[in-house]
Amino acid sequence: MEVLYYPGCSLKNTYPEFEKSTYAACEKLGINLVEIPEWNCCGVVPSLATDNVMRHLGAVRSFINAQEKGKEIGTNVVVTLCSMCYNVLKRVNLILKEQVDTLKNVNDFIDDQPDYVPELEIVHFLSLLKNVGFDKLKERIAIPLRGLKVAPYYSCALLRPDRPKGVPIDDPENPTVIENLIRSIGAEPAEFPFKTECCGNYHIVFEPHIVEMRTKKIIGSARSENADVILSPCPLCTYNLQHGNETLDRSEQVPVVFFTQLLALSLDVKSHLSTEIENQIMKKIGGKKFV
Amino acid sequence: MSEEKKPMATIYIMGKAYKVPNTLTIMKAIEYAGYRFIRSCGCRGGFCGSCTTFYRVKNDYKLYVDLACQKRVEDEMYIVQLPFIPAEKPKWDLGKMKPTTDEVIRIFPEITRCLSCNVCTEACPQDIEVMRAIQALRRGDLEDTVNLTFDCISCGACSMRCPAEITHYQVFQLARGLYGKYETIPAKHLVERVKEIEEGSFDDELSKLMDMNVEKLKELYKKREIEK
Repeated sequence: MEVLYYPGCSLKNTYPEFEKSTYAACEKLGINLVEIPEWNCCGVVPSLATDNVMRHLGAVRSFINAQEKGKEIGTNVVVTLCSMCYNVLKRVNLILKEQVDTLKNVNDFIDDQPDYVPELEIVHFLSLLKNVGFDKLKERIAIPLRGLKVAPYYSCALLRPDRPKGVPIDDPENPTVIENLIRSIGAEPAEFPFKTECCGNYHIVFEPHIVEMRTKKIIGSARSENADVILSPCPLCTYNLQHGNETLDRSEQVPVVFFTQLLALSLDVKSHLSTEIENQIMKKIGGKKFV
Repeated sequence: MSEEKKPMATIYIMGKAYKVPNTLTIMKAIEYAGYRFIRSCGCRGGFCGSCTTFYRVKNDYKLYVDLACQKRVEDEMYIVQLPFIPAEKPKWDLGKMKPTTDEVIRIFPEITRCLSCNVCTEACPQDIEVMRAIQALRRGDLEDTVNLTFDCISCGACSMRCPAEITHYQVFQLARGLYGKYETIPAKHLVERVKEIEEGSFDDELSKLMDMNVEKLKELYKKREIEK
């Protein structure tokens, strides 16, 4: 399967392990990620006002490049990994599909590129896995992570807001897609009441104590459910949770990993986990050190 | 009188109308109108980036940017020159940095505000793809940024138009500095020459020049060897 792939700045600069583990897993699963040439910054937290068209231009420019590349390889599916990019791209694309005037407006403004015809589908990698089928995924698992208890953490951007309709990848109040992934790779999901709790988001910049307060609560809850790791789909949540871990005693910390890292580990390809965390996990599942 | 026969253009310099021959560059036309440059004029050859000029033309809503020394006047042109681009010049120490986007963002966090509107590119008198260069940096592609901005003369027109208030020309200076220092092979002759300078090989000749009077210096300059 060949799909277009939008990486986003965090994966290229801050968390290359998120991208690398995904590439490793995709190769094993026969998914060919084709990076959109010259993708632009998604715009990050664009104004919720749908008429602030200027805020959507970065996303639209990426759509245009994706559309042209998609014609070459014969697909209209764009996969994202970063939950923030997913949210922005998904929302802008839905707006352009629904609002003919807005579409004309941006196409008129962007007079240095071909027009965008809103036929792309923006899909988060978790949804792609779900569409492939978690049962099918289960059959491909080489190292089931038996005995590993994993706390699923969802991040707001995958679930909210449901405006325009169709943004959330799952039920915003009680999502289960990450639990299903955890089961399919042989691990056990922790029943975890703070799985949709906000991490504090951009307060990390000016009010880090807010993030500390919130992430301590999230990590503490995961810990009380005996979670060995917290699974995150979001670079910013990961950053904040790691910041929370740093303010805790070592014995109270719970490592935070990207969902694709555990997926890669279970598929017997390079997980790009730190050696320490990988060893901890392998010890827990009674496996040998994995190189 | 002969000039009367030449086709003339009416230009407005900061609102005041002047008739000037339409074959002149903006820079020459401003001088023709009687102004004497004390700023906004440097090399007169399109290289130094001093003579950034904004203008509109009658019946056209668009705002244009060009270098006064390169652009010919047009009839009914409304002109203003920017003597200086208001921006702090941040200090950095290339030796203590890494060639990464995160390092550039540390000094210029505003590049993360880029809206992809491409107005910077439209403003560039050098036809540099300014937005693409900023976005390449966002993608972590320092090499692409450097290659796209090699012709930048730091005139700053982009930075006067940017809604995200980025000072692109400074960002590119840093990007090229980091790339040059860490991602390219040092030129052998340059390394040798720097070593010679540090060892004081040219100190005597330099102090000789420093002690020379202006007249003698001028004479020496006229007689200088010109590289072929």
